[in-house]
Amino acid sequence: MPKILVVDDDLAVLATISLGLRRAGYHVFQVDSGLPAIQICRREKPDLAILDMNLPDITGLQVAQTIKSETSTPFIFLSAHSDEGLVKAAVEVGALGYLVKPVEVARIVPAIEVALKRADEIVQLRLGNANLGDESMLNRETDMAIGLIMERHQLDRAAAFDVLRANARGHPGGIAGLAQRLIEGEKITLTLD
Amino acid sequence: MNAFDKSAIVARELGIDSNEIANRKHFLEFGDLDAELLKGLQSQQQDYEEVIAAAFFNHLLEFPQIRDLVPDAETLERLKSTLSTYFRSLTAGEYGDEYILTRLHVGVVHKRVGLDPKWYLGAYRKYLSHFLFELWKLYGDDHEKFLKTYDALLKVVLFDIGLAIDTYHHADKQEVLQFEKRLQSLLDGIDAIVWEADLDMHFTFVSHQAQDMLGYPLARWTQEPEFLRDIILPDDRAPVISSLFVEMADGRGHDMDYRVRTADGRIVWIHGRVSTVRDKEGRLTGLRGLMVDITALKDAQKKLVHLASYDELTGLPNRSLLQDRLRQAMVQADRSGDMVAILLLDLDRFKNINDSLGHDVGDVVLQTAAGRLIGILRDIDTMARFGGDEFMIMLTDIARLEDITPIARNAIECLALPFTVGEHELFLTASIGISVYPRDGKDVQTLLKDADAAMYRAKESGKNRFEFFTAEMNSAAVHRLQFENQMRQALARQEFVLHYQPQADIDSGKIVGVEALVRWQHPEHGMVPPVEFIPLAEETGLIVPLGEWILEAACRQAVAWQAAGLPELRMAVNVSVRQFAEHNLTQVVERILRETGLAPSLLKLELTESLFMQETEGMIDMVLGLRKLGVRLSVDDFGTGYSSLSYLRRFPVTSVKIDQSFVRSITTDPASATLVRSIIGMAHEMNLRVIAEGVETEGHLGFLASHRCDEIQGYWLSHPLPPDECAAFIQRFAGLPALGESEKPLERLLLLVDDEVNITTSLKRLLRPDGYRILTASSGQEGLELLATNPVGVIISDQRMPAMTGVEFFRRVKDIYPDTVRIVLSGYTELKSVTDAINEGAIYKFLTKPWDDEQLRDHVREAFQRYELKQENVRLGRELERANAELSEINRDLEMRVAEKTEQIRHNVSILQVSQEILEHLPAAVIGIDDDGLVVIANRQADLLLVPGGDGLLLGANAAECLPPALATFAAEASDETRILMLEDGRRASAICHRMGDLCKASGTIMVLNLIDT
Repeated sequence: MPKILVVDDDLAVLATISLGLRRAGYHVFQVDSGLPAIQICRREKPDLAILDMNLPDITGLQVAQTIKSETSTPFIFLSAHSDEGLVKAAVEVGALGYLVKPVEVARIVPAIEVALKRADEIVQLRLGNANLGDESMLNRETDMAIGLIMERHQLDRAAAFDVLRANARGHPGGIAGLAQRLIEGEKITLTLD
Repeated sequence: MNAFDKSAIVARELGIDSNEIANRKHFLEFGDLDAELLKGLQSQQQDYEEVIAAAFFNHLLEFPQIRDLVPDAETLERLKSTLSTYFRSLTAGEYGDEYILTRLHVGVVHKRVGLDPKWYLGAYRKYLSHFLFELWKLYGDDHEKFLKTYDALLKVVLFDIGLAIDTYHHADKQEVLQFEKRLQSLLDGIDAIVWEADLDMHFTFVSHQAQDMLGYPLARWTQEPEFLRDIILPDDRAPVISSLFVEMADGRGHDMDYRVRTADGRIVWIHGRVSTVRDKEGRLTGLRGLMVDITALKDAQKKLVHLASYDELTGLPNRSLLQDRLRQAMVQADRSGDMVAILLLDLDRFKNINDSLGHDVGDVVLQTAAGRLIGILRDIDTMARFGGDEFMIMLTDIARLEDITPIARNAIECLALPFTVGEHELFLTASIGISVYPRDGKDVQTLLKDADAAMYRAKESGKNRFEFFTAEMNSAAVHRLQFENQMRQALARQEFVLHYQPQADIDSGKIVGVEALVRWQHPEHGMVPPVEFIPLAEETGLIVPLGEWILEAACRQAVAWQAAGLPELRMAVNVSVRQFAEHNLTQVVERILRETGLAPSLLKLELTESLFMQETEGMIDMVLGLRKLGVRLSVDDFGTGYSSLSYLRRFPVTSVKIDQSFVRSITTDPASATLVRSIIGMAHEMNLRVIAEGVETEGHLGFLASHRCDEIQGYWLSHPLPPDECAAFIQRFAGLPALGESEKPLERLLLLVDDEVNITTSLKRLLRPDGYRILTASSGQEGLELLATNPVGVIISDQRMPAMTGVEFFRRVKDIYPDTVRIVLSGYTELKSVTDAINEGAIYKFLTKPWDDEQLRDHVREAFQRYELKQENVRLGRELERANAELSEINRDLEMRVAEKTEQIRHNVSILQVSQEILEHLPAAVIGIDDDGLVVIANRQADLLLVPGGDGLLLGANAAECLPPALATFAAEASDETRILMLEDGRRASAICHRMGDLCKASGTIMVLNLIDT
């Protein structure tokens, strides 16, 4: 049972996300501020942390920096805005994904599964296990870009990936190139068909 | 499928087509000449075949295996005939497709009945031998013909035998094929990988499930030498491989569970079953086995283990797991000499959150609280949920008791931060009981019991704190348990009694109500006050039946007093949050009112302030339901909770009760005074009555009266009394002392405060001629006491007094009695402190000693004028307010009555509409005629029957004109008889006519007509 830590200062949000995750079979820890979240990462070593950007004591980014340097817990962000600056900051600090509130449980579970898989791949990489399958799926930026497209166009994960792939045809740098530009906040009009 | 179809399939499967037939014939050199010769044989018209068949069967029946196949004579005859027909066809000369199929069919049948080829060959031997003799007889002289015919016979028989052997062979092959197919489908049907390997564990065979289950192509299994080793997870690799070879070396099969990684990266649990393969000599030649995916089973097992040891809601260890860990920690501590601490943490009043906001909110608060607590623990500490709102924290490696304190404090502090749920903030506190191993107990049960006792002590001492266990708590805990049990029995044993505390109306000075207060007449401990058992009753749920008993007993008492001739009293009864949570409170109250006969308006339910903060749908409905019954609703302990009246706007409460903690200090604590004043003001603005409890001195009463509080309750009036004493008190009560300023409108009351008696004396002498009533006090404290009971207008105080300076005194007075006019008289100038006080408005004038007599008198006179002007304004304001309040009370009553009336009318209208519809569709004509002879009722039948052509309406017409004369006359008589009348068109109708007014106030006549079929 993968362990997931959910951090949000609003218990209403915590309840929605953690209930969905518990039903999906995860072992969930939840807390509403940043400092205890760090200690939970140290003690409980969750497989993934979902961090709200705005917390009452320290920011989600600060939590992320600390757990990145002190633990091996991978994390994704949760925010009320799909603000470019925040997305960029999230990528820089090493987030595996970015979810925009309000979150729907039906959409969050696949996103979390992807992040967990990614986290596992990173562990495998670190262990020197080269048997990793699809290289393109290893790209964190691609994943973030898919998250953005999901949010922006109200699509599920597979549809968002299709949009990214379709739009990347003939694009310099392919999917990864387009993804990079998208998360850097460039205004790119995507064609949806 | 008929026999030929089947033969055709066999022919097709054997590849016997016309080409093949030609081939075979060619190979046997079986040509047209042969056919001719055979046909010629047939033309001899000899019954060779019958003879051969008979001889053959005679021969056959000598063999027991064959005898079994021939049950009776009839079958024998049939078989003989079949065989002779068969033999005859050999010489028929036609050897085309049909012939072939017939031959094949014979083979199929023989195979089916189990006739071996040897019997078949035997028959041919008989046939050929017989014909040898017959042909010799027939063509013996023509050697050439004899030899050629016999040659042709040999060819056709061998052609036939060839086909027969093919059929047998084909049938055997089919059997093998089918067997193989069954084996394959069996293999396919196994939900596991089936494999074989050589002694080096190189796979020689794997079933295709290997690809389906793990995703690796089958070729990799058989081609890569270390394939199994590679896919097994590193942790499991060594044991699996070594046991494989060890068991193999010992020649044993074995079972094992291990994990493999699938091609897409998943981890799958495998149950492997391995057995050895040996050759005929018993030498080991390889291995074979099964691999079953048991991931789901492993997950389920893991989940079961988890469920048994972890709390489902929070994911924390549960009680039993923590106890295990505690045992381990105790062993560890024995070794290291350290201590183990257990902290039993109980969330205070958590029940309220569940009761009021629902379990969903309760659950998320618990889960988040768990998260916060984990967040303050050290890595070595363990936390568990003990169920409900209890958590247990175990601290190990504790060297000094002082090391426990910061963690307990952190736990309380981390929970004290607000919990945000959407727009709302919830506040939690916790009480913690701590016991320490080995200091407080040597075993788990004792330590838990000690922590529990310490936690209860923390609760008793005001909650939101931690307590270490002490030996003395042990007896307290035992006592508490006994007490709880006794309380459960007390209700049945009727040990609870009610006392009543009178409530007086300040305006009228009369007793207008009582509050019912429960007491426990304990058989051993005597009268137990409610503070000692109500919280426990709340906690255990006993408050629900107890509350119901109180309500019923109080209502009966109220009715009894009424019957005994006591003045009308309102009975106030406390209702607990827990009773509200039962959802049937409205029905309970309704039933009790009905059964006791108490007027609803004489029952006042006192609800605690916290209840109103919850605002759940059910709660609002229930309050509305209670109010609809007509009972009064009061907010108890007002000011202790949110201290906000705004939420009350949503509830139809009728009064608020100011908590006694404020009332007790209104004359000494400016904050309390201000609060009480503003509560009264706001409540009046919302047209709520205000009652103050805890009134203990005349000073309290004076303050409350001067601020227009409506009612008082407290020791000053009376302690709670047993029913008889209370009745006696009420009958004796002469009224509150007159306090209203209106009764002494002209008295000017002056207060002089100075610690030097000669000053007060000389001031008194100076000012007495001006007609003031003068009070003197020697300190600020004394001054405050006098102010509480006297409507003082002007105060002159010395600045320099030992306990409280004049300015300090005035600052308090200003807050408590802002209307008073305050003058400072000082021996020397302490300008700084005095100016501040003047700027704050605490001081009206500052005069220096020695004073100018005339100037002082002027100042005092002026001060009184100022005071009286203010008073007049206040009085006018209050009168206005009172008038408004009365008006709105009247309005409210009116609104309620209008609402009731409207409801009644709506009900009547709907009854009327129903009646109208019934009338309209009645299968009889109904006509109503008023006293003026106008038709006022006419249903559809009436119009159809009486209006010619069916158009037009009777309604509104003059009966004499629109009705046939016979009917009109009959109607005028209204004799209540049934009569048969002739209508104008010749139809007859039975009619009855009735004059209205038997059951209702209506007048006029009603006539009912029914056509009679002729």
